[in-house]
Order: sequence, then C-alpha cells, then structure tokens
Amino acid sequence: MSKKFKILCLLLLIAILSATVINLNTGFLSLNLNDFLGEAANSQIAEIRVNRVLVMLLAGISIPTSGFLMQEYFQNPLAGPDILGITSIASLSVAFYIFFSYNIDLPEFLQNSFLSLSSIAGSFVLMLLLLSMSKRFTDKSHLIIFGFLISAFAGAIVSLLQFYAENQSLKNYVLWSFGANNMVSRSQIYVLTLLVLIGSFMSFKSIKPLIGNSLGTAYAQSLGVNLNHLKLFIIIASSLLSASVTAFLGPILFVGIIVPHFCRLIYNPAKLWQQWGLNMLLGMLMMMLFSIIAEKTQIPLNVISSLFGIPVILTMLLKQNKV
Amino acid sequence: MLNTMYLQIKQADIGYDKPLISNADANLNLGEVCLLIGNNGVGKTTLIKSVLHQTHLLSGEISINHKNIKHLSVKEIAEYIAIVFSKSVIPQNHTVEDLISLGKYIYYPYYFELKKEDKQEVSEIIRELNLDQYKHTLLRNLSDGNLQKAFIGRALTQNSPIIILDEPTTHLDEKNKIIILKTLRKLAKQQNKLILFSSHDWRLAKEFADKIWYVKDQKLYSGMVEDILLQHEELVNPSLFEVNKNFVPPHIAAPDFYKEMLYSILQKNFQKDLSSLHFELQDKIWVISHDSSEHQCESFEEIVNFVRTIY
Repeated sequence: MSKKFKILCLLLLIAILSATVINLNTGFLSLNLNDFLGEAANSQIAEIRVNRVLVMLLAGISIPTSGFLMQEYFQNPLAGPDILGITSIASLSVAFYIFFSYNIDLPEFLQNSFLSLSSIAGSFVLMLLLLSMSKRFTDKSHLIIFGFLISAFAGAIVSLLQFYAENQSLKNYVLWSFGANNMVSRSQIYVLTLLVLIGSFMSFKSIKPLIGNSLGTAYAQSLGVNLNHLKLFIIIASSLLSASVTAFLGPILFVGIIVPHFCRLIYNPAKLWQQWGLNMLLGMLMMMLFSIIAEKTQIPLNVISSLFGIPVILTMLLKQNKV
Repeated sequence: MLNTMYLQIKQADIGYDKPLISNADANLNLGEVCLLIGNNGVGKTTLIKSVLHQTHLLSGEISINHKNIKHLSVKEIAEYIAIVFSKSVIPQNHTVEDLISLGKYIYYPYYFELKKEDKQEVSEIIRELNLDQYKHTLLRNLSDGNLQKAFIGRALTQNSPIIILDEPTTHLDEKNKIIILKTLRKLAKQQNKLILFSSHDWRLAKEFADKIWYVKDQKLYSGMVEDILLQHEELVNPSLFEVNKNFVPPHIAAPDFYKEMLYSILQKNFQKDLSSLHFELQDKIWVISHDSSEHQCESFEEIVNFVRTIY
C-alpha cells in the first residue's frame, strides 16, 4: 500500500469518527455519555441515534460501492446504482405496499418491517430477472437499456398508483421517497448488515475481473477473465447493496454517483482495490455529514444529497467537455 | 537449439462453421519472427484466435511446447502467449505505467499491488521502449505510435515466450512502423521470443521477418520469407501496376528505381501506345529516341511536356 493511500485512509477515518461523535450529539435533546451506556432516562433516544449512525455507516459502505461497480463495469462515470433499475423497482414495491395496505390495520412496528420486506422482495425478483436474462444480454449496453426500461415502467406504474391513491397513502409514499427514514430498529440493522456483508463479498469477487476487463473483452478473454462470472457478480453485488439500503432507508439519490467521482479525483483511478476502499470510507463520511445536516435542518436527506450532488455532477460534465 | 516446433499447427481446419483455412500445417521456433499475410477476411484473425484457443479448431491440433492447447487452461495459455490487438478499448483513467503493469495480471490471485521486483521490471521495460517521459501520462493523451509501444510493453511484461500481434503497425506512420518492427525483431533475437504478427504493409514488414505465413484460397503457406515470395508471383511483381489498358510502355533503359518512376509518370499521363519511344538514362539525363531523332530531358516534368508535343 502506498504511503499516500495510508494517509488518505487515516484522514478519512478520523473525519468519520469526528462526524460520528457529532451525529450522536445532534438532535432535539442534548445527551450525555451516560444516556448511551446505561439505562438512563434518555437511553431510548440514545439508541435511536446509535441506530441512525449505524444505518448511515452501512449506507455509506453500500451505495457508493454499488455506484462504483456500475461505473467501472460500464466504463461510464455517470452510471449510478439505479442503472439496472433496482431503486425504481424498490420504489414500486413500496408503492404497492403503501397503497394497497391502506385498509389493512397493521401494528406500527410491523408496518415498517413489511415496508422494507416488500422493497427487498421486489428488488430480489428484479435481480433474479436480470440474472436469468444476463446470458441474452451479450452487449453491455443492452443491460443498461433494460434497466432504463424497467425504471420507466416502474415510474409509470407508481404514477398510476399515486393518481388513484388515498391522501394519506400518497403522503406516506412521498415521505418515504424523500429518503432516510430514520426509524430503523436494531433488528432491522442486523438484517441490513447481513445483506451488506453478502453484497460486499460479491463486490470483493468482482474487483480482479473488473481490472482485467479494463482493456475490453478481447484482452479480458486473453487474460483469463470469466466475463460471464463477472456479469453475475456485478449484478448480484450492485443489486444487493443498493436494494437493501433502499429498503430500509428509502431511495438515496446521487451519492452513488458522486462519491466514486471524488475518489477518482483524490487517488489513482486505475487502482480499483484502493478505489473501493476509498469509496467506502468517503461514503461513510458523506452519509454521516448529510445525516447531521438533515437532522439539524429537518430537510429530507434526498433533498440535501440532490442539492449537493447536482452542481457537482454539472461541474463534472463541464470539465469533461473542456478536455 | 532444441526449441524446434515450439508453436505447431498440425493438419488443422480453422474457422467457425465452415473452415476458412483447411489442412493447415506450420511450425515456428523461439527466436523467430513470423509475418502473417493475406487479404482481408481470409482468416488471419481467426487463425490468431485459434492459436489463443479463443476459437475451437474444426479439426487437427495446435500445440505449444509440445502441449496440445486443448489441455491448457486459459491462464497457462496466457503464460505462454501475450497478445497485442490492433485496437482496443482505451481505459479513460490509466497511465502508461498502469497499462504496462497489467502484463503481470495473470501472476497475481487478486492483483492488489505489484511486488517490488515487478514494479522494477515495469520501469525497466518502460525505459527500454523510450517511454520514460510518458510514464505517468494518461493513455488517451498519447500519440498512436507511443500508445502501440505501450501495449507492446504490456505484452512484454507478461513475460511469455510467444508474442502475437494483430496488425501492430496499421495506424502508424513510416517512422513509427520501423521502430515497432525493429523492436519486435530485437525481442526475438535478444530475448529468444517467438513473434508472430500480421500486417498489410508486408513489403516493409518482410524486411524484419524470418518466416511468412501466407493465407490464400483457404490454404496456409508457410516458409522462409524469400521462398514464399518467390513461390507466389502475385506477391512479387514489381510495382508496375497496370492501371490502364490502353497504355503500352516504351522501352526504358535505366536502373530499376528510375524505370519504375518513369513508368509511373508516363502511365498516369498517357493512355496511348508509347512503344515507339526509347528512353535511356545517361548520367542523370534522360535521352529520348523517337523515330530517328534524339531529345534530352533532365526532369520528369520536361519529359511529360515533350511526350505531349509528340502525341
């Protein structure tokens, strides 16, 4: 590992730690250390904040990795985790759940779980569909077109549902789509962690083939890269990582596109292992910061990430055109 | 040398559904440079892909170091053969050093980071190819010649005894063509590598090759460069292209090169029967005999103007 990389990682870790401490202290009430450790009066609130921090860390690991894998696989710096349509299908599943469960009385704590469950279920079905059709998509651009069509289709259905929905359902759905549903319980975090671990393992298996794929398929074949396996690993990794976070937090926009971009700016973009590591660290830092801002200003997370992300991507585009 | 028949093609039918090349027999040794020629679509790239085992043979066998390639894994084949394609995807963010380091890809299970010796080897190869000043330049900012050298550098780093290049000099100017061809010959002779490359510019390439593989009419002809060229007249006719049917050349007494130049300029300008003229080059002055009169011209421009006055 080069010295520069080690220093970068150290700086990011320190920043993450600081941001975490700030995040734990951010909120309506001011807490002290006892609340976090013991059974003090405000322990419940402390637990909520700890959950929030954990979820943000997990999201910071997953979403940028998903975007990173998509950008490297499709050699497109504007690709994001949603390029295969995962986020759209997750939204569609949640929409179905919200709009059709209106008349069913579910206890509060179950509601949240079913919401996430439906989101994961929908994304899982899409992932299976992608895997089964991946053999037919020999051309990478067909995969992208398929994802685009899925997103468009899902968007159309969601609009239809919204059109006929009850007011409350509508509002519930819209709120969900703002991102960062903060009420993630500890048990849900365990499920999320498991999914993120599996997704990260699949990412791990993708990196070396991705490196071999950087010169195109002819060279990749001659270097022994199994292109079919690479496609499978990429689809599974990206789907799991983005779908699981979307299920529990709602869709998170732009982070998956801009974090890989920043990582390419601060370190050699050809070294994919290091890029993956930086993506996870920078992702955790960014989610933590956004979460702090969201908590302080009460502006939804997606609004913050959009306000931050859109100008960044715009400058990216303009800079590319100049070159 | 005991390295006979390092690369051997035995009675092979090469192609996809139907054979493009039938019953091919050829072999190459380490230290040899072989030029692969043939018209477009005749099967050169398919032949290369078959040697790489990316395409299956319809019949027969290909062996490397006396091992049938059918029994070799992709990694083993990569350890024997490094390939350079004529064009490839240029990764947006790679520098010359990143590209050349990729030659070591097959030797690492995860390719986290190159070992110190490997990093040094990459630096040495960059220096040998005169790419030192471009070490940290992005590939997309390189000139075509340097880019091609960088890809050859990647193949070199793979440390395989055979290097196959598909049209390595296609979009290079003459100067860079010669640099690449010289490099290839040096690799064969100094590092005992087996070099096989295809080229359309074979008239130049043949000066650097020991053997030729000539694919024509579904057959593979292989042998020493000069033998094959003499056996196939269509290759060696001097560049007296017959562009115009009505043109009949005059008698020309001059060294070959001047003869060719005079033929060329007359053919371009006169679609006539010029056989009654006689041209002779004496000391850099052309003496033109026509009927029974003589005329002297120094430059080709004068000759053209003179012939115009006659016809």
